[in-house]
Amino acid sequence: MIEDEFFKDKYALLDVNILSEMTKSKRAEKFRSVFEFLKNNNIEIFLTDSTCFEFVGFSRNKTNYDFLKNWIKKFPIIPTRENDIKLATLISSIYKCCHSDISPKQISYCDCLYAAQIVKFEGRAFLVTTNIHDYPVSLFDIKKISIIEYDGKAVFVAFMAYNERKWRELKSKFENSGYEKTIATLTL
Amino acid sequence: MKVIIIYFKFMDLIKVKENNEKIYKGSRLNKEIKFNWKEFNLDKFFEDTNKAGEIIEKKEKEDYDRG
Repeated sequence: MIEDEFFKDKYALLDVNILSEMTKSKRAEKFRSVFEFLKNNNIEIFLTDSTCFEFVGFSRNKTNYDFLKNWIKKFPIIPTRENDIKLATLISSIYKCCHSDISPKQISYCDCLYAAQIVKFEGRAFLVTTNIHDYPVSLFDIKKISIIEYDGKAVFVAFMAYNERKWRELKSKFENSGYEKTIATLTL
Repeated sequence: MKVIIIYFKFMDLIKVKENNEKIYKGSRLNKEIKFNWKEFNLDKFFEDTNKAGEIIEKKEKEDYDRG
């Protein structure tokens, strides 16, 4: 399959929402198809320390904290670096610039950090999320969607990938934004 | 002599800059991410995930009951 060729031997960053959805369902094995897909395509899973922060943050006492912290350690966790934060900030501004209807409150710092990892690693890593709205298709491509059903509920697991053309276009649009207004003000 | 030392220090600086850029471009992915499917037991993972779910739900229920 063509789509599988895209994924082969790549890296998958798991958004905290898929981890949360799996734990909440208490039927984690329902997500087996997602993990088998990753395994069959030799895709290495990783998380970031912001995933760790969000997920372990569910705990409200030390026992929960220790359990969730040990659980999350099953995956490699990469640290957030200064450049990641800079890139996440840029992405947040690009979102706001290109989607004027979006409220700044709707943009999550952690989601921007995930987006930054995908942009940073260019085509080598993709994101697995249960909320496509957190990652605008104006910037990312939805390469695959898996539907997981449990308790009469459907969860859409999306595999979002970096698109260099979209990134360049949005970045260029952002870099040229605001100047028209400034020139108009100067002329006045 | 001083010129030679300055030259080498300058070259070192360039090297550090190049390495940082290389690291940032993603070459560290395979160094930093060590995920081995052979060592990853999917069934155990699902079992532990369900346990984590129970812990979270139990705590949320306690909080809810407490009002």
